[in-house]
Amino acid sequence: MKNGTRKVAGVTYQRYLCRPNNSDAAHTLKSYASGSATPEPTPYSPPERCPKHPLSRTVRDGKTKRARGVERQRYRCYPNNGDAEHRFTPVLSRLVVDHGETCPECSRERGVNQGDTNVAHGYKFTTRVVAAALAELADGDSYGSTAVWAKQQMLALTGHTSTRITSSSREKSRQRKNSWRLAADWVETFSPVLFEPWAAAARAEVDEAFAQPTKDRQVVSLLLDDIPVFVKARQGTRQRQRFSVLAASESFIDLDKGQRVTRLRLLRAYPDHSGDAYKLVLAELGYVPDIVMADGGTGIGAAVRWLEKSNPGKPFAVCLSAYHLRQQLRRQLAKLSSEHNFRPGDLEDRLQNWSFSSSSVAWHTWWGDYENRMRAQKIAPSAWPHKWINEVKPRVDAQMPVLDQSRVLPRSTGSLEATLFDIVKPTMNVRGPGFGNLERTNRLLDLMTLRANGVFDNLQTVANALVTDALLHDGFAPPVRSIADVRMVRSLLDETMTERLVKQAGL
Amino acid sequence: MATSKRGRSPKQLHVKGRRLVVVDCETNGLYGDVRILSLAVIELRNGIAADSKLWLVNPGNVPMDPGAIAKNGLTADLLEDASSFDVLVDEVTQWLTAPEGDTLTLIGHKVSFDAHKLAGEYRRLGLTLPPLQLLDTAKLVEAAHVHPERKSLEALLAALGLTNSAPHTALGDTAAAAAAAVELLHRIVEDEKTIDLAAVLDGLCVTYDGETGGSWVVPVEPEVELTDAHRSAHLADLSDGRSRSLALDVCLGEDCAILPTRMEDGIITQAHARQVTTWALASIDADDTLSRATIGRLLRGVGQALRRVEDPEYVLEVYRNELAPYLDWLGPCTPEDACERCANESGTCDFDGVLRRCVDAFVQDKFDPFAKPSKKRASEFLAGYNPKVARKRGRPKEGFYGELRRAGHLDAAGYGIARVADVRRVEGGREWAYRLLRKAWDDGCRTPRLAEMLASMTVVDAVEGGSWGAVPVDPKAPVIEAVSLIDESLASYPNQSSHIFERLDERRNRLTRVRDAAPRVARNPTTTLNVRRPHSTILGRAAMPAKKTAREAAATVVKVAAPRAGSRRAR
Repeated sequence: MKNGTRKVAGVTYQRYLCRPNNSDAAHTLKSYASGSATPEPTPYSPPERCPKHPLSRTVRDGKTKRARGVERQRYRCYPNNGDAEHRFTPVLSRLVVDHGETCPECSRERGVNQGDTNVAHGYKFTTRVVAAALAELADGDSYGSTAVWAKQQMLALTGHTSTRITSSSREKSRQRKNSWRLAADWVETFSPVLFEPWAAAARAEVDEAFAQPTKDRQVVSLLLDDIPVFVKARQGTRQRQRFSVLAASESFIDLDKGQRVTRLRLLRAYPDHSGDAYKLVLAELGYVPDIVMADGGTGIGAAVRWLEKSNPGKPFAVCLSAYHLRQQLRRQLAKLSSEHNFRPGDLEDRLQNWSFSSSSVAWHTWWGDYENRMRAQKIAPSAWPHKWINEVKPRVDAQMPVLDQSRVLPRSTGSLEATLFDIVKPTMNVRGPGFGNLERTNRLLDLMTLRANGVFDNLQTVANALVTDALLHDGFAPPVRSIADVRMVRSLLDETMTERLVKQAGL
Repeated sequence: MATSKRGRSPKQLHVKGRRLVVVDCETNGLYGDVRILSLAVIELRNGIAADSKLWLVNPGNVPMDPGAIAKNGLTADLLEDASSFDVLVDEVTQWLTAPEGDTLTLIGHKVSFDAHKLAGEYRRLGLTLPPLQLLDTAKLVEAAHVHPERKSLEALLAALGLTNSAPHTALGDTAAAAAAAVELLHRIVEDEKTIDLAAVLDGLCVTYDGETGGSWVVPVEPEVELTDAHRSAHLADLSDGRSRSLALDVCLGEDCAILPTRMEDGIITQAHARQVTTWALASIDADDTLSRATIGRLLRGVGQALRRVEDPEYVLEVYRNELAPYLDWLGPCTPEDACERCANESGTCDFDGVLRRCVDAFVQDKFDPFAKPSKKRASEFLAGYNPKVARKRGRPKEGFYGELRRAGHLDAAGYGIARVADVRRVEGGREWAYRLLRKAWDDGCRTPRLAEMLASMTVVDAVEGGSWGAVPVDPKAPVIEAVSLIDESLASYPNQSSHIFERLDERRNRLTRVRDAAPRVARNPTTTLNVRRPHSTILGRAAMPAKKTAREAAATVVKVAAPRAGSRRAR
């Protein structure tokens, strides 16, 4: 007999009551109501497996919704081992999928068991939204705007959020101010989930290069550089403090691909760019490269000397970047021209087109011409750059034969500088004053490193990594706010921090 | 009219069987032949002021207290054309009568005073005040769990976020009391959605009978046989400096019991307060034969005067020059002490009240209930004491705290420490604040505020046995310790009734419930907890930076600014 109608996901069903003529209990069944449009069959998707009884039959069984929460799909498990049937929510619960709902990414219709997964237990945001938010942060978006964006995404998905879409700039500003913690927590929690496997894989590739037989071994070159970030000490004051972003890029020949790999490997923010700070960077990289290429900075010099001293059996070359070498030579030419009326001729052009650094021979030719012209033009010996000739030129003379042996490797830190100025500096110029927590800033820089290496080009990969990590830990993400600074202290601006960290690491 | 919050249903304040009338009256004084000069009533229906009425009453030829005139502005000339109470009594009676079967409930701030004055007016005409019930706002405050700073109407309005547009006028105060009562009733109803408001009011109201007093204890007014000179002194115009000095001299000579009140009556402006203070202290200096009780009364008056002064520098000056010499002599107050300084309703020593005012003056740049104490002055309060630094050799410099403690005024000393610790606590020095409070506690200060802060920090920061940051072996140990702290404080002030003690009582009850509760068992034992460890960090927990001291910060700056040996700047 008919037993009323029921509307599920926009479709009306006719319910019937069956009273069996045997001893079975009465039960209901349903069919599409006459006159109602028959829904198109949705693509099949298997239901979630019960974590306790993975081989048992499961069916959808209602949904959970807390007072201010988001609807999640629940399931019922009929164990095949005699246990009592029970309801369960998957380890990573899924959003409820309505009939005819399509995927916002690919526009294909979703199966009823293909709702977005929760990023982790206790979170109300989906993995897809969090992955996209991390990509936004890696692009340099602020914590506040990313958090508001994520909340609005959830609003579109579930109709639930405390942040409404508004056109008022004041309201938007208030929302950003009140929400930044959300994105900051995600950086703290999920950045290591993505970065640590990537860093391990990168390290494995370098180790593989080192493990080649000596005759086939490819040279691994490490480029180092840094940029300063100036911030106001306090709101309303003109006093400025600074911290530095140190960058390391590695370059080697990938024999499998048969091409040179040059990638941004590590970005680190420290209160200064001293030798201690660079020591921490080199220690984190964990290997001794064949070539270290950098500008002639004292911090890098101190760290390189420490690396030499602590690895006596592993010699490596320290090269002055061609970019910085050119800068120094140009300065010399300009000084001689202005003070002693020196005419450089084509020396300037050969600096401009980098031909002076193309090989050892080219360098010696350029320098010979330089000296000959100074003599020909009777530049007084006292005006010659003796200090440079005594201190720097021997190093340049020594580095050129080394670079000649691996011509495909970079001779300058130009690529690293370009990365810093394209990726890091625009973000730091705008958001620099907001950074105070050393740990969180470095985790954000890890995201930028991943972005520079194309990890965020495919968000599905990122989402999969987040899901895999959560499933490995019973659906839980690492605890948040375990890196908070002591109140009133900004570890990133604490000038004694690098020294303490070096001491702590025993470097 | 005071404003109240919108958006609430008026129906939720419907009380069946009661006619609610809010009342307030202005009188010609507080003592002697007290007559009503102005009476205002407002009827509340469903939480809305439905009707109101204001009467000006001609009291006839009765003395007018200048202090009362200064407050309410009702002079004999102004009331000359008003009707006397015998003309108005029928109309007033209509307002004070409920329909058949209902009960009239008179609401007001300290409504017993108004009811008693009304009963006096009826009695004078040979009539009887209709039977009614009284509902004091103080009872509503208690039921609504509101904690105003003081018991005054202004403090109550401030606590509720309301304002009084016409203070010290009958209608203005009635409107303010009505708004406060409605707000409090709303809060009572909102706290418990299923509450029966009529039953609540039954529990809060007391029956008042103008003849017998009913269940209400009618306050007894002092019946003093005054000499003619003394009576003239009580009627003297205290707004004039010379007249006030003469009148107060007479009261002092007659050993008048209400001398502190007369001193307070003479204070209208700050200048008056200074003059009264000077007079009282000069009187103490001039006469060596004054009894301890008389000096106690004079100091009560000084306390009242200093409360009116809004200049902390002046208060401190008075303390340094005049009060400090009495610190030792008027040492700790005991219940057996016959100094009559403990005659106020809260039971605390009045001299300690004066010293508290001095402490406020010491730690604050200005007297403002919302102003934070100055950090520099707060540090000077306990000069030479830094809980994190071992004391250097030699005698430390003695701050205000030391002076008070040495003289045994632990109440004022503890009050000051609580204020200083409050500043430190808010500004990030929680450990510092805790050690400070603990030191004061060990010194014997048991003030309720100090106990409240210490108990709170003991529980919140999980301090075990006084050691900061220690994770207790027994999770309930901090709670047990907090309860014992509160118990000790309450035992030190056995007969207290101010709001801070009510708050302390509430906290104690709450903590006791936690202490006695059975261990919490998860409802769903299958629920898994997040046991995942945080990611490895660069800093590590050991290297988390401590807050830099000023000296360390200065050293850092020097380190950065100093040129390296061999550099161009060094050369």
